[in-house]
Amino acid sequence: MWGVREIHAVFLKELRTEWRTKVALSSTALFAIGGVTLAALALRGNPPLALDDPSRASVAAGLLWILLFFTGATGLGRAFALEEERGTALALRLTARASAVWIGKFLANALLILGLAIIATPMLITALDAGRNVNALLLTCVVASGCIGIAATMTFAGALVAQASAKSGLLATLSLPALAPLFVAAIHGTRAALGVGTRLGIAPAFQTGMGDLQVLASYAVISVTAALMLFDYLWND
Amino acid sequence: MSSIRIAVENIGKSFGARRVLRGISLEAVSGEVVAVTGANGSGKSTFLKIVAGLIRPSSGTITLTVDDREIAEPDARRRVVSYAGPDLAFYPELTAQENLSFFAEVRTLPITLAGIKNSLVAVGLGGRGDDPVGVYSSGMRQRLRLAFATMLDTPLLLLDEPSLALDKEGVRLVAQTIERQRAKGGVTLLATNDPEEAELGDRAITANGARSQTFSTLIAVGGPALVSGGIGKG
Amino acid sequence: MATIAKIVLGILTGVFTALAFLYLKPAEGFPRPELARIVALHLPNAMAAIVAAFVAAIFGWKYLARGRNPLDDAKSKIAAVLAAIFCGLTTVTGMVFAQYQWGAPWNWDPKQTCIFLLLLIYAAYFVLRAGIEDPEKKGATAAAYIVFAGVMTPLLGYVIPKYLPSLHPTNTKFDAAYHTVIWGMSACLIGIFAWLQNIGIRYEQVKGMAQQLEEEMA
Repeated sequence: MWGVREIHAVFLKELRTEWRTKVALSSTALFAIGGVTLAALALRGNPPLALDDPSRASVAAGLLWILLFFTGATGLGRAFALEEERGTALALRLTARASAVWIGKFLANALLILGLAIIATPMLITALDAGRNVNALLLTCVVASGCIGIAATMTFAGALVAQASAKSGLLATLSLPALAPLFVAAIHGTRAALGVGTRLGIAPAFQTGMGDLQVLASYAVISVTAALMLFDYLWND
Repeated sequence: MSSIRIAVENIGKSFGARRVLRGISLEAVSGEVVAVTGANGSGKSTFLKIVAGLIRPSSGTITLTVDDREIAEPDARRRVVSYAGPDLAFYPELTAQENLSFFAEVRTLPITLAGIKNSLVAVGLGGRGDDPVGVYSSGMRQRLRLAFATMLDTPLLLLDEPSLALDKEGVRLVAQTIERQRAKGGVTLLATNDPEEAELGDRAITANGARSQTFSTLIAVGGPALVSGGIGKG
Repeated sequence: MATIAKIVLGILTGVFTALAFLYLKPAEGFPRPELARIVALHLPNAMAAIVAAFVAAIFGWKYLARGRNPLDDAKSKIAAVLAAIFCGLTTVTGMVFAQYQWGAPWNWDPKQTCIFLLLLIYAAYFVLRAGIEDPEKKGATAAAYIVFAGVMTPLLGYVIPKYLPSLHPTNTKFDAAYHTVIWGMSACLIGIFAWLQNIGIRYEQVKGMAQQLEEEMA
């Protein structure tokens, strides 16, 4: 009933059309890299900021999620906006089920933001020298689950924004309040992964970060479920 | 092919306070071709999109029955209705063949690559199937729309201005498509402004949109000659 | 009947407002006990905001899933406007309270943050509505957003308090008189919400009729 073949078709189509133009890929990648550069310029100027390890880690955690949020807001709305702009939504609505369209696009968006996170996270942490006490496994788990939640909410909000005539900035506006619970947990978890609030060797980072991972996982599950249910009504209008 | 019956009762559509369609009714069964005529802005395209399930009507009902089973669910309707109209667009960075393969996949059609190539050959795009749709001319796009609608192979075929931008050979192709649909026992609804094309229908209904008064004035001014072609032969 | 209800509502609201000033004793345990009485206006506003938010989400859902009745969309929209107003009043009364009791109007306390994010949701909701022309698309898209936000915000209420230290008082400092006034005032404000909601719906209906008339005349 989940229609693996249809989801696979939408997912592949998203990747293929993106790969031939690389518009979302290049714009978001440059956005992420530019953001890291600005953060490094702001915090590594002369005279250097005298931050201790926990402060640097906290600043890095906050900046990382601000960066991922705005990177997502520049690229993840395209999935639905393009269908409406180019009129392909019509043919898609004639042939595809709501669940297949949403899941296929969500998976492609998740892949995009995860790919960007894989580039941006180590860059930012090295640039701010915040990785001295890093727990790489926890960091990976937090970033991955957070990105899945961002992809879910932004794919859904992107479907709404696609209906509006003035789209610029609207995706960020719509998704920010809905993403707030994800951000507090993700930032807290990232700080734990960077060694804030955990004493090395005594309390393993996972003990601190487990609650955050649970919040992030439940956020992902709830947002995917809610988006799937509501998108069905929008698609079969 | 399965037997189909479509009954449209008093369909109307308003966008907010703006009424674009009022009171269209029609009934058609397997093998019939119905032309939908009417002036520009009379709501022909809106009517076809309502039947296709792309727009929700403001009033009235549509009953689709295939093999005595009523089709109500949107997912079931997708397997019964296909549509080709001027605003049907394809992914410009994909080739024609990739476009059709994609839509066949999401509809889970049991169709092979050879089948898709055949449907491209059938609309005269055999040699251009590997070109990205972005470089297609408007006539080629129109042929691709026909290939899309016929590939879906549904009992109900909706054609909105199918001869738009087509050359003579293309116009023949439209007639062939409609005849094939008739021979298969399907129903075709054909929205057109072209009196000659409307002749392809067994009968015609007239969409008579919001501007009903304006429209009747038009008839009065233009005289019966202006509309007689639209009545069809039924 | 409606007139009587309005008169009763007016008298009750007046009575509870007077009680908040005259009957309530200063709340002991606060830095400025006599000024803490603003909670008798603050909490009821928060209640009315939550009720309005629920009404907005429920009619949004009804519009989306049950036949796209324009009246449901209008109900959802008006409830959202009123929810935003009550959120605003809650924020303002809360800031007055915080200024005198905690020393600063804004502290990023969990409840402050939640109500602020709720305000952001309504702001985004109206921006989204403004961006869509076709009334049905506008209604469906806005409804989908308000329902989605309605599903995600309880998560907010659960998650935020875990992460931000709270300054909000636990209710031990307020005596029974406070409870009476706060609940009574809440009932009044919810009544006022219902009344405003009703006016708003009638306004939308008249506007729709006027548009239709205009269209038929044209």
